[in-house]
Amino acid sequence: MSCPDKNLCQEQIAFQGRIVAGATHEFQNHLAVIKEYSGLINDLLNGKQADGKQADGKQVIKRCREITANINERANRAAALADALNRFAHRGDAAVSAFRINDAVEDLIALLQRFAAQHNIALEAKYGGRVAELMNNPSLLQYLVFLLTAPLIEALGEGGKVTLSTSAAKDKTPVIEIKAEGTTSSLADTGPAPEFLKDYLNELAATLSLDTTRKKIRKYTLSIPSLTETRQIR
Amino acid sequence: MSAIEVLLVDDEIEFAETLAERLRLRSFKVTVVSRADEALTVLDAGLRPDVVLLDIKMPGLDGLDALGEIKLRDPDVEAIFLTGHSVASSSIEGMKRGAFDYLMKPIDIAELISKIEQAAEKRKEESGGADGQSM
Repeated sequence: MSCPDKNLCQEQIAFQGRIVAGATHEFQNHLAVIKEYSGLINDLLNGKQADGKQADGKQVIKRCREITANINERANRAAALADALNRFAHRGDAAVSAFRINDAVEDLIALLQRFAAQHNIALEAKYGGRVAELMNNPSLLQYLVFLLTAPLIEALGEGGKVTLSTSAAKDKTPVIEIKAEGTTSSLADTGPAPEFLKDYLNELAATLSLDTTRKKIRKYTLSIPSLTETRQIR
Repeated sequence: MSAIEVLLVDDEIEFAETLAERLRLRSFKVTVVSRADEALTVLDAGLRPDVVLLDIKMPGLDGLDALGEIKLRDPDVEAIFLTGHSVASSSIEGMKRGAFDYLMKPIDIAELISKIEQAAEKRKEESGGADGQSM
């Protein structure tokens, strides 16, 4: 795969590293929980009791069933995260490919949940039902959405909310709206300057607008067209 | 000998509650909180644990900064960091700030218990004798 702009590629690699680091940390957490549950089952089957009394067999079986259900739920969460990370990794297989923005946003949301939780911010998605598949650079789009979203998460006060919504414009161009609703911190200085994003927007042939009319809300609207054949040959 | 008292601070509440249950089965007295500011609140309310088990990455005050605040309230309390980070730099920083030791998650319960007992012993020695009484 060629890299048309070395600086841009370097920054994207750093972004991917950050995503992988966050996801692996989350895997460690899932494994740590599963290991404790497994150890607890072992403790209970070995007859350990906090009060030193004889273990009640029926109670032990009931508790072990609860624990195995929790292990199953944890394993499912880890598997879902692994799926999102796998899809994220494969989005860079081709510079331009066909994809749905709902899928790209869904994976990004899954991978950024821990980052948001660390800041005590709710990160949510609203998916439009009739958003067409498009030809563009999904990996770069995810990076751009990250560049817009991460500073908002970092700047919002605890208890804030960031919502990523997808929809289709009247001309059917897919649109991603990134809305941050703060409770305490000022949002006045959030968001990278449009100049900083110009190269990425040009690469995607995308347009970006920022709504700052309301004091406690920041809203980016990103329109992403399908690239024409001419644009795809670079 | 009275039970070793442990304050466990971790935002991964399922991990913390399950680990606490396992420690209680081994006769430790365990209090669980999910945030560093809650830990400070229970300390301010009079809890005096022998050992604090502290996650590093947490919402709000992180484990490293929390350690300083905890030590202000109880200079003799010993802290052990529990971290999911494979890179040890944060844990080493924690040691520099006065932590007794650190363990990587997933943890080994036997290793954790050994470290808790060593830390509790150190606290007992530094606070001047059994059960923290001055001599």
